[in-house]
Parts: sequence; structure tokens; C-alpha cells
Amino acid sequence: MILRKLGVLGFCAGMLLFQVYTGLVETWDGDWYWPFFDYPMYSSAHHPGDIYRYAELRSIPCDPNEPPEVLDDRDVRLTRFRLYAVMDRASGLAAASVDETAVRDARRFLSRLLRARSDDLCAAELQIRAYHLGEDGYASTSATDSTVVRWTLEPGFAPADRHLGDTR
Amino acid sequence: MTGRATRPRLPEALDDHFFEPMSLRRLAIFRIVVVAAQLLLFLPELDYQMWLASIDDSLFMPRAALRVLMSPFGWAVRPDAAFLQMVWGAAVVSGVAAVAGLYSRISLFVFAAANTLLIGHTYAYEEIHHTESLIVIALWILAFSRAGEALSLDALGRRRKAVRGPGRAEDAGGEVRSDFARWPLRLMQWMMVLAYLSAAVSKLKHGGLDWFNGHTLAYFLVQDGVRKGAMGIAVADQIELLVVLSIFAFLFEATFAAAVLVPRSAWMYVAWGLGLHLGIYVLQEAPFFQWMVLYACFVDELLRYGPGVRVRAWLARRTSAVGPAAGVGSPPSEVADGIGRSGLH
Repeated sequence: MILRKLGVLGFCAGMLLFQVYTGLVETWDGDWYWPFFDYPMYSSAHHPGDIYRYAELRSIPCDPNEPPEVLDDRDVRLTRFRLYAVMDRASGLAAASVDETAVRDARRFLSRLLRARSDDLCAAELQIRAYHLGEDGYASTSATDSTVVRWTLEPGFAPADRHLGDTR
Repeated sequence: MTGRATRPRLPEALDDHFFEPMSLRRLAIFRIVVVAAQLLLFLPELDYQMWLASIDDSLFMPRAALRVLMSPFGWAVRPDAAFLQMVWGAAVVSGVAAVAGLYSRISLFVFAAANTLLIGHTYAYEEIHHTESLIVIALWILAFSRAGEALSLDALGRRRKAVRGPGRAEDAGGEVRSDFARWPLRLMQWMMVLAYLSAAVSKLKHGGLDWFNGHTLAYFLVQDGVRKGAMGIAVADQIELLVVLSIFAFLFEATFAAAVLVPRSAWMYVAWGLGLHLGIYVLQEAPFFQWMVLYACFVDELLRYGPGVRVRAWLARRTSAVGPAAGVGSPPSEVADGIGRSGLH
């Protein structure tokens, strides 16, 4: 029985040490060892004056009589967090480290997704709403402003670019 | 090492902590609660798996767990729709068998592997969440444990054959106790402690004391209110309240180890945690329901020291004061088991 107990303790120690390593020692790619990983969500600090920006993706049809369509992650065949990240880059409002090339690449990527969805689209639009945190936090009466970033969809994509929307 | 020829003994505290004999029924309760919840409430949706299988190859970035599970077919192989359907079916069948305790060891292994594969597949497309990780670990721990040896069809069959394994004994109430019933619950308790500690340390490391300024929580309430329509945005201007809630949440995360080290406090931490996660869900729509289910790993502490025990003991005393009869008035076995014990055990 002592050997069996030692085996169990070894198993427990291994599991716990791995969780300590992945949860408390951040020296590597955070989610590679899932389901062992860290829990840094909601851990950054914010202050009065901080702004939360929310982007919404819209497709603009070529026919001016057609209204723009608001698109979500499923519509463009991306997962939600992936879409948030791409929209963040495409808006040009993300971290300072995002340069013009990254913005252009992100917009080109979104253009591809929209083209794969329909040929009758001429432009893409990001509507970005900014929510300002004041001294008293945020209330529905607080200042909220809106910015629109629009770019035209380049006509004629190579066939290889079209497969994003295909169903297997 | 003393150099004596005697068998080496584990340090007593560690031995007590992980191997103090416990009814296998309590471990079985954990098995039934966790597996049934994962099967009925948290099993990844098949439609979503099919949709994921249809999106572009370039977006597929599997983590280690999915690569290992798919490794018989090659490293970083992407599961296709037919394979995912088969895995999902295996998860359902093995889940039902694991709850019923039929071929428990095998069914628990298959259930753990199938869930790891399906959730790992979801996470291969940059959609990483923190809600599923601990319950996946719990499923693997159960697969390596004796969770199927009580409250199960396997146990029913074994009882007919009257087979007993090493380290098992039957108590006066007919329950099978085992040295190996407690460690899975202990391990799960410590995994939860480490997860909460990771969240607490992250807040101090990335946010520092400013994390408690109320504006931090206000920002996240706005974020989740705008993104998900969560109702917390309505209180994003109550800075004093948000300061209190921030401290309340951090204290819970930072001190959760007390629930394990001081067993009498476990029920209070479980109640605190349930309230905290429900509050987070209402205000931020962050659904940590799996973690609430995992509090079942405190089943022994709850049965020994929970408020229900005190109520039953009080009722038993009243009954015996009114007029003791044969067998009436003696406290339930959990009460007798629990009173007078405390500290690390």
C-alpha cells in the first residue's frame, strides 16, 4: 500500500507543480499547456480618463439603396475573440505598437472575409464607439463618441482568397 | 533516511491529509455531480463544433492537449466534422455510463478524453476561456481514482461477488471506506486554490493597488455591458460600492486555501464562492458555473461541518430530550465523524 500511496502522491505533486508553473510563473506562451494555465483576466488597472472602445463591423453594399449590414463573428466565419482582435488592429486605434502595415493587413483580411460572403459589397466600415471613464465611473449620461473608419473593398480576389467562406 | 531496515513511512500529516480513510460514497457523489453537470450542462455543442470544422485552415492553431490527443493521426492534425461527430457521440455514451458507474474506469477515461478533445478543438481558433479548464482537470483526476467503486452499477456487481480491494474497510453503517477515497477531492481542492491564487497574484502584479480603485471594476463593467449586454454597466458609477466589491473578490481569491486548511471554514468559502460567481454572472455575464459545480469537491467537509450538520445535531438533541427511544437521539454518523476534528487532516 505504501508504494501505491507514493504513486498517488507523485501524481498529485506533478499536477500541482504543473499548475504552479503555468499559473504563477509566466515565462512562456500562456495557453499552450491548457487545461493548465494562468488566470490573468480582468487584472489590469484602470483610472479616470480611460476609454473603452467597441468596434462594430459593417458591410456596405454597392447598391446605394441597400442598407449596411452589421456583421458578427459567425457571419464572417471567425471566432469572437479573433474578430475583436482583427477589428482592433484594423481600426488603427489599438496599441501604439500596431503599425500601418498591420492595419493594412487587418483590413485586407476583413475585406477577404466580406468578399467571400458576397460579391455585391463595395466597402467595409468599422463603427467605433468610445466610452469615457470619468471621476465618478461611467454612467449612461457620460460622454460617448463615435468614429467611423471606412475602406473600399478591392475588386477581383484570387481564387485562393475565396476559400475562407467555403463549407467543408 | 535513518538507515534502518524498516519500511519508510510517509510524513504523518501528508498521509492524513491525502489518505485519511473516507467513505467511497463521498467520492462517488463528486463523480456523479461533476460528470452529470458536464454531460447535461457544459458539453460542447455539436453544431458549434461542426461550424468550427468548416472555417479556414489557416485559423487552426491547436494547443498541446489537442495535439497529443490527435497524435495517433499525426502531429497538429485537424479533426474533421465526421471525427468530431464520433467523439461527441462517445462523450455522450461514456458520460451516461460514468454517471451510472458502468465500466467506470473506462467510461471516465473516454469521457475525459472526449471532452478535452472537443474543448481543445474550440480553443484551437483563438477562442480561449477560463471556465472549462478546471472541470477538464477534474474529469482526468476522476478517471485515475476509485470514483466508480460506490453508488455505481460496478459496485452493485462487485457487492454480489463480495470482492474487497486493498485499503478498504466497511464501517458500521455498511459504507465502504478507503484510504484512497480522499486524495482526488484533496487534489481538486488544491487545484482550485492555485487557480484562485493565480487570479489574485495577477491582479497585484498587473494592476497593483490601483486595481482596487473602483474605476478598474467600472471599466470592466462597461466592457462587458457593451459587448454582452451585461447589466453591471448600470452600477459603473457607484465607485465606493465597486471598491468594496473589488476587495471582496480579491480576499476570496487570495485566502481560498483556508477552505482546505481549516475544514470547518469550507462551507463558508463555498457559500462565498457561490455568491461571488453568481454576482459576477449577473453583473458581467461571465459564466463560471463549472467552478460552482466543482465546489462539490468539498463534499466531505460540507457533510461534516456544514450548517446542515448542526441543524441535524440540534434536532437529534431535541428528540432525545423529548423522549429517547432505541436508536433515536444518536447523531448521524457524519456528525459523530466530524465533531472534535479540525485543522489539517
